[in-house]
Amino acid sequence: MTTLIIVAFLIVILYNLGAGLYYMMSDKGQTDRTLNALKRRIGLSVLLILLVILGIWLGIIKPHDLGR
Amino acid sequence: MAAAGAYYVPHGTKWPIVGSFGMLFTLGGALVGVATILFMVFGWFGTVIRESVAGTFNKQVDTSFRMGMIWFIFSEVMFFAAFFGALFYARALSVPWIGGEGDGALTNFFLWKGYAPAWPTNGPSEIGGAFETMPAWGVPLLNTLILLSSGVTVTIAHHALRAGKRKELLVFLGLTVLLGATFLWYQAHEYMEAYTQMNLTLGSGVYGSTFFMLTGFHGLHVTLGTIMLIVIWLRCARGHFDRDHHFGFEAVAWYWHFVDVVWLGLFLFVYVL
Repeated sequence: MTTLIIVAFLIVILYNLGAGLYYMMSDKGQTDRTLNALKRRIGLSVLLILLVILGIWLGIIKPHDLGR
Repeated sequence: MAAAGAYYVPHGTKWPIVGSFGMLFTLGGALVGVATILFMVFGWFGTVIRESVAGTFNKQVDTSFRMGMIWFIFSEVMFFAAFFGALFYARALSVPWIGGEGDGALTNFFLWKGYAPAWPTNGPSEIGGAFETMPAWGVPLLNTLILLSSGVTVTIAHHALRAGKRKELLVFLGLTVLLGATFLWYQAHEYMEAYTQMNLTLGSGVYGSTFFMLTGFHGLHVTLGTIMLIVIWLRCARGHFDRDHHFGFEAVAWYWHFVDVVWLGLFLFVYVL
């Protein structure tokens, strides 16, 4: 379940990163669409890592160890 | 000189032949060859920057640069997809197979009897000997926070450029460079610890090789990104960009976001999950 949530987050992050690249090509620096897509991408990334830290702290996510 | 409005084509340049000799020199010794190629890269890019500032490029040339960026990123995505693919293949398929899962029951019985699949692993032959894994809750987490912070600072710099705030742009772009360098410093220490104290090396079976290939090539990209950010910082300081003309800035800022997202994937799939 946690893996699914993390992967879903990553897909949305990748989508926004890709959108930023697309707007860089189409708008040629004349609009804020690239900047706004990149703002969404960094915002979601920070949120995801904060959730992962919370998950490890609460014991919901256990970072792998040898032989597990 | 090209006619006004025409697609700019330089007449006579020494850089291709310098690059060719650079490649030839790598046959004799890496140092001289690489130095010549670096000389070519800086010289060639410098020429293009001067041509751009002189206003020789029309909109079609601008589109060419943007297309170049797309192809470059396409090759980068394929590059990392191959290494992430290797990691997933080993973890999710080949290690369980030799452990007897799926149709690997006989493989396990005849070849790797008694091997219980697990991850991390260096395989049934324990190639490279016993090793410890790098715990996520330490330097890797710190480096994640450092790189995410650099993603925030580069976004603030981008915003400042679009808002026409030069000083803010330079301060936050400079901070991004410093955070990138700090990341590399910590990663170098992590590698030294892995090699000297944990016996985790490039030869530690499939875990060690995927770990070092993924994090190592990512580190190389952070190095490249930091160098590009330094060049862009100098160009910003010289006033090469304004709010409507800043493809160089935008491409490098985007590249930094890309490298940051690759690290997110690495942190989650190599260290945590």
